[in-house]
Amino acid sequence: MSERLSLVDLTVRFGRTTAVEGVNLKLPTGVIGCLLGPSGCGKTSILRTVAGFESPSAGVVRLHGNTVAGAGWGHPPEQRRVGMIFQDLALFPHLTVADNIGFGLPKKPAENRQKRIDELLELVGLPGMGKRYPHHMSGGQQQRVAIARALAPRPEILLLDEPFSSLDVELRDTLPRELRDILREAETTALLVTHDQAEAFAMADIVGVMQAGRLHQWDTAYNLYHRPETPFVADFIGQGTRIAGTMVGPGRVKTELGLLEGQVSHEYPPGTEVDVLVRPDDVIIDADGAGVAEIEERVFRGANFLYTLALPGGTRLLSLAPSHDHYAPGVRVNLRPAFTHLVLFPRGGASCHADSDDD
Amino acid sequence: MAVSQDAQPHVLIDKPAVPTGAGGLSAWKGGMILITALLALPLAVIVASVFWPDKATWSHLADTVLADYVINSALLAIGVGVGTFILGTGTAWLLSVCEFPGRRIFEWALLLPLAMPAYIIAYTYTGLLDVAGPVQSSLRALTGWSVGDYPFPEIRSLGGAILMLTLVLYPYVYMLTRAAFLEQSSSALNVARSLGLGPWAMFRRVALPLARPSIVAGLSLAIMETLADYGTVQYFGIPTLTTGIFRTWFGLDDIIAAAQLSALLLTFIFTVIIIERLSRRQARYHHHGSWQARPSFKLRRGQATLAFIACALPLGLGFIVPSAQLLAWSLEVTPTRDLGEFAVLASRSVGLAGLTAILALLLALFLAYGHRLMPGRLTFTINRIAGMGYALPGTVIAVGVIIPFAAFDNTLDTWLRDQFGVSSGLLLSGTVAALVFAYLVRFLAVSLNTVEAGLGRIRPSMDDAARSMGANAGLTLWRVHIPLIRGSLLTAALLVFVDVLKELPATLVLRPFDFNTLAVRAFELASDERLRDAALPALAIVAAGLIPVILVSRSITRARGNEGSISSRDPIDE
Repeated sequence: MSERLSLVDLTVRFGRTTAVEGVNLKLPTGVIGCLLGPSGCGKTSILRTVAGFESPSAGVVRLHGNTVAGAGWGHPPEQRRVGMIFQDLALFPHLTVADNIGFGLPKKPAENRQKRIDELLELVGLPGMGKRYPHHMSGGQQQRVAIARALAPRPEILLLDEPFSSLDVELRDTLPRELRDILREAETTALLVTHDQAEAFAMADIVGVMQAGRLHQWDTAYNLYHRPETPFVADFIGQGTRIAGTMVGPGRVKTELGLLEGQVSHEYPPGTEVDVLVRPDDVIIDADGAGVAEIEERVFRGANFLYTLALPGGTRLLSLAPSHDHYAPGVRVNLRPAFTHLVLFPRGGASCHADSDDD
Repeated sequence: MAVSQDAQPHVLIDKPAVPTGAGGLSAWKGGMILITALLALPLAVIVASVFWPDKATWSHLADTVLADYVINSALLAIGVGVGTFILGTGTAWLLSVCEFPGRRIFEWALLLPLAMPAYIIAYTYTGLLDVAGPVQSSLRALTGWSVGDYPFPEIRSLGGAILMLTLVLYPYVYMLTRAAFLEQSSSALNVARSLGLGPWAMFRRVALPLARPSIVAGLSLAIMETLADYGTVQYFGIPTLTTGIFRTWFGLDDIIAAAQLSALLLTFIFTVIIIERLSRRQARYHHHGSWQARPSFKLRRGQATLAFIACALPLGLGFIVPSAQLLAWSLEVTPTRDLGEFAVLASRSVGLAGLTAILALLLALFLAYGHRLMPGRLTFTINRIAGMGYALPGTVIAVGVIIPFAAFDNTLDTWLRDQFGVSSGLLLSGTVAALVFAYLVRFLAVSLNTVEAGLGRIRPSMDDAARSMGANAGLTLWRVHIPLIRGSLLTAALLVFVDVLKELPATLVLRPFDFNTLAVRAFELASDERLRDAALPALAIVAAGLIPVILVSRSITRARGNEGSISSRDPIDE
């Protein structure tokens, strides 16, 4: 029973709108998970349902093997032992930092309570600052108080709702990694919600991409990038375009770039029209001029250039090339495919197999 | 409830019998419905009375005095409307854009007449302007005339009542209009000025139209208070709907007809409310941000003197003169006998007002927090209904309370006599309970609005944070909301306290036999022409009435101090 959290066919509706539809996922103990998606995709609704602020319309929520919510019912949040970090932090302005952290701890015995508060102040790097009031602290410090407060009662799981959105740009760079270290040290199981990929990849071991209430893929960052299971994931994570192709045999696709061969993400019968995902590092610009593709645009990225290329058929591709050899817009070049594996989707781009449950 | 023994200790029940938090919440909602149903009872009784069979009284009233009642009430409302409009908007404009000596003091001091209940100022001026009073005596001493040689206006008249009510009610218009003037985009005023408009033209052509919704709101408050007034018109002997209600009830002994008259009065009041709502909906005159320097006219000496007089007159006549007179009378008669009686009256009033204030606060917290826990149309409607009593005049509430309470008492008494041969007598009517209930009906809105406003400033994530750390709804209220809105709670209690202290007509009718309060005693003594004896209780009421005025004026001066910038991370209240 290593699953700390599991959602089975979770559906959440508000009146006529469906916020979350048939979501399945498992979060093992000690793992940091993240729900990533554009605003309004339902990720926050999942978090609030896990916390107990909303009830599922269908499906169940299990915490540590116990069902805590099902269709139309759920244990109230105060009985779930779930810690939560809110977007606006929600520190109590009338309480000192120590009293904020101690809010969820039993009042007695007082020594234990004080000991736990000191422990947490130490953990989040604010030793001796318990007597201050939250509004006398910086944004980053307030963030740490919120983390300490949520961790104090030793929750089963820590839920974080866009925890960095209210912070300054510099803090948004460093704090996710710091927070990750704190959670590791406390051996916390956590579920984070964000729309920011950088945050998701900096914090989480496992990331779920959501769109319009559906969970497209629940996987490692590497797999999301290299083995996206739906066109949406392919588009949402990293850069890339899709080009048309036709299956001509197992692991062989005929495209405008020529015949592509390799390990394929999904086998289709010969003759099937497919889309092939092309990442910027999947095509290499050949130095020999007078080729098929025309350089449309280039963006200097320091170590490399990101080129936009147009094929004769009108298809556009992206390609990364080292910045020491560069090509001016309008130049024609040859392209050399360098696929390690082929990510294929049936033609049309509609999401095909959104639900994934592979551990 | 099956508690699985070997389950983890943190989750008690594997499959609960009830949906999310339902048990406690549905009881809470039930409580809200019950409270509101009780509070709406008087209004329901008045409305229902329209459909009750008519005795001969109604046609008798219609043939004789009804027209007088309606015409006098209407004239009173119109007169006070015009008077408070002139005083309120005029002073508000002078203090918003003109520079003249005393301006800073007038800004808050013009609110002081609010502390003066109309019936108290009415009898004070009666004493002042009496044939034997100081004004006429000095006049005779100066001119050598004797009584009857000169014409002197009679204060105990319709015109006098309009004047008295205007003097104590104009601050409503002043307060709201001034706030509107200050909120107006100063660029609109600056543009007007650059187009060559002087202060008067700017007032008439730009500021006044822009402030219309606030002016109408202030006027509707003043007119509602006027229609609800009982003490002044009764003291001056003017037959209006409020005095008519009591006359029909006690003179003609027909409480049903009194209820029907109440319904007629309510029609007037709700008309005023509807007009106010409509005017507010028509236009959204919101200012957009910029706090530029607003135009300020430095007045020349002659103009400044006129402006000073224009502000000093309502302040002097509405507060300083009557307070000074009350003080003088109180000092004249302070034998120890009176002080003993005063102490009894004061403790009764304070006890009654304190009890009501605490109950109103608890009910307001229960209702407002209930809406926060269960947001939705039902709880919203419940709370709006619970706050509706504020529109009901004290006379109307008295009728609406006594009818159901007396019916209950009679039914119980009859039943007990039939069954057991004992009499329960009057269990509810004529007790302090009936009186406190009437106060709650009328004044719950005051505490409810204040508590709702306070809770509204607490972000919902605070509730969620507390809940996620193991505090249930009740504990969250106790540990998070109540400490955060301490200031609002205190204000809510104070406002109700003072309102109860000043309340006259409902107290007059519903109080237990031989149970006096400051307000009732002051009114009775004044009605018996014992003006000097009435002064001390009246002065005490005025002093208590200053509390909310100070609260409001403090918020005015504070707003002047730090316009705009309040950090969201600061403690929410105070």
